[in-house]
Amino acid sequence: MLKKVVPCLAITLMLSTTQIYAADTNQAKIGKDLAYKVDRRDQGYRDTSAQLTMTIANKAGNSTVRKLRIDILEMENEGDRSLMVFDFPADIRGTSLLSHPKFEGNDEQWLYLPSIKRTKRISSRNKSGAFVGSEFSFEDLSDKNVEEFTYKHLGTVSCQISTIESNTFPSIDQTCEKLQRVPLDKHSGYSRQVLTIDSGSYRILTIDYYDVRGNLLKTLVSENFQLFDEKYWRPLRVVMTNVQTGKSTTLEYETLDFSIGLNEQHFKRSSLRH
Amino acid sequence: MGCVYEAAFSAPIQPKVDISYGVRHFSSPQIKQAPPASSERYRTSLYLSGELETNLEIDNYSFQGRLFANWDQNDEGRQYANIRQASTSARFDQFTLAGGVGTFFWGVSETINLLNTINQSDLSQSIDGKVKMGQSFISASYAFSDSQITLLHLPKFVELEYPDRPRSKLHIDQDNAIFEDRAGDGDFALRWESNLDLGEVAISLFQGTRRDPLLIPNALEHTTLIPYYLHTKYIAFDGLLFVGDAIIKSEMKHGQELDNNYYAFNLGVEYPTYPDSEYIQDITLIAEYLFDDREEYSETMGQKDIFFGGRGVLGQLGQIDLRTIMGIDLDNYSKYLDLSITHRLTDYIRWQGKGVWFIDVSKDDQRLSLIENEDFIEVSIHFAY
Repeated sequence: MLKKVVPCLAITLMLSTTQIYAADTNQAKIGKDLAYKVDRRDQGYRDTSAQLTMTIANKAGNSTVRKLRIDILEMENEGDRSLMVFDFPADIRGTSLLSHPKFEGNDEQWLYLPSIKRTKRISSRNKSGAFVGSEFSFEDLSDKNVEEFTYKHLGTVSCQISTIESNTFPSIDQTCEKLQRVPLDKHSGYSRQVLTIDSGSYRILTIDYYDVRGNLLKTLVSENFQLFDEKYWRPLRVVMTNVQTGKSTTLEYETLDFSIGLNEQHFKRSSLRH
Repeated sequence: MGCVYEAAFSAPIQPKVDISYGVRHFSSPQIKQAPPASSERYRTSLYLSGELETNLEIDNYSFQGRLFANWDQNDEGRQYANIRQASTSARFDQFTLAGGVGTFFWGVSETINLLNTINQSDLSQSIDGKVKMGQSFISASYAFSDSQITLLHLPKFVELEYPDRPRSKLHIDQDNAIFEDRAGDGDFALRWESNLDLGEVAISLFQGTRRDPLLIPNALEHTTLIPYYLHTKYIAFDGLLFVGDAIIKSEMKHGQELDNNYYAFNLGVEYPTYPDSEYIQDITLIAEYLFDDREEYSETMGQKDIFFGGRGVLGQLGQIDLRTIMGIDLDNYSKYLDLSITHRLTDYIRWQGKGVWFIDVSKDDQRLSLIENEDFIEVSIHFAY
């Protein structure tokens, strides 16, 4: 009797393990496909130049305002390059961050501090550090490659999307996909991230960031989406809230221009000192 | 096609204005061994200063302007205005031609920059010469893919101005400065600089009048010093290397003055840390070693000195910048402490504090012993937009 039970249990266990494995594999495949759809949605924009206001607030409600420019250049075989330059307040004017994300190897980021006339490289170990006192880490500000994460599709949920141009995309209830991604980089400041992506246009609406201990650390919410060039959606308001400290950082776009003719020369290290 | 066309690389034209009101207080009321007229130097003084900066870029042409002015209640040497920058440039593919008045920065060191010698120092604003006066120039640059070479002609030499305080114990006769080479007007400099994956490197050449004069005793009046401007030429290297989180920095210089060869270098390291605290954004530890074999003829406060200290960004909103540096002369153990703080109160208003102390200054330290009683603190409130 026992001889019959053991093989039956073993077969049942193997079958259920295989089913779980197959389900996990399927969720991973759907998740990765979804990530590629989000990535492809944006292809072909060439470059953008934007002026933004950054508002940093603490739990007590005290806040400080910073004004900055962000130029981004679309790259083919590596992550999109970006150059951020602060114009306000006056005492940090000229502070600049240059990001060269790599598909292979570590991203390269350099921070120029005009007060000490020095360029600092952001090492991979410190990319979880706060950028100019904001709730954005250096890691958050670098373009992500699909292959930098493993994925798991968590399910389909209902969601709401706020858009500027309600005539082209009404602000109504939508269906969204919940996607979990786990960074492969051992130096990442996150154990996992959970994204909410609308099923129609593959816009990232929210990201929940979990710290290395697995606790929810920050939540990013993208709002006021606007369609540019009849193809590219951009949120004109992004809020990153640290749920552990109560601090938040809001980025609001004042201008956003596409395809103004930026090239690689604009994203060299020498541009940091301008 | 693009949504909106704008000239590429256009920079904001909004000018930056910084107006400050402050007070300086010296630890000692008068200076030992000073002539009678100088012994009544002030101890506390109010001051008002302002800086206006503007940039304009249209296609390949740009203009940069920066004007500084300071009024001091008691110090005539600090009642002045200076054009720090009023320069135009035009870019033709890889070539850039520029001219006007400019402020240049060469070097990588935190404490004493051996190479930053294009501009004359503004001792009224920085006892260590870090703040510079504007310098007339014409330049031509060529940009390679990852480097740039610049030839500079500096047509007009500006003498070093000494404020009433901080100042040497002995009177400095600025009106009767002596030049080794009277053809001092018309200096040349060449600099090649490159950004590497792992750091930055630059090689520089300079020929002309040394910005920092020797102070030689007047043979007739033993209480008076006369500035003596040497002719100098040097080749120099400066670079930094990113090693993990740390930055290793070096400035090296080999040159000729008074028919003698000399060499000098500054070797340092800085290491940033990011404590897991809401109230500390980052703290960078700094250590540097300076050697200059010109000894008493050196052009800085250091000859064989070690420096250590740090910089930090503090506060929940990163609104406080703190910096402190201690310098120790390894020959005679004279010490120099520099502490500064900037606290942004609102987006437009900040206060700054600074203190400089000279500790256990040896009579053998020819530079520091002249200003050993010039410890001071200053506090200022700034309005900037």
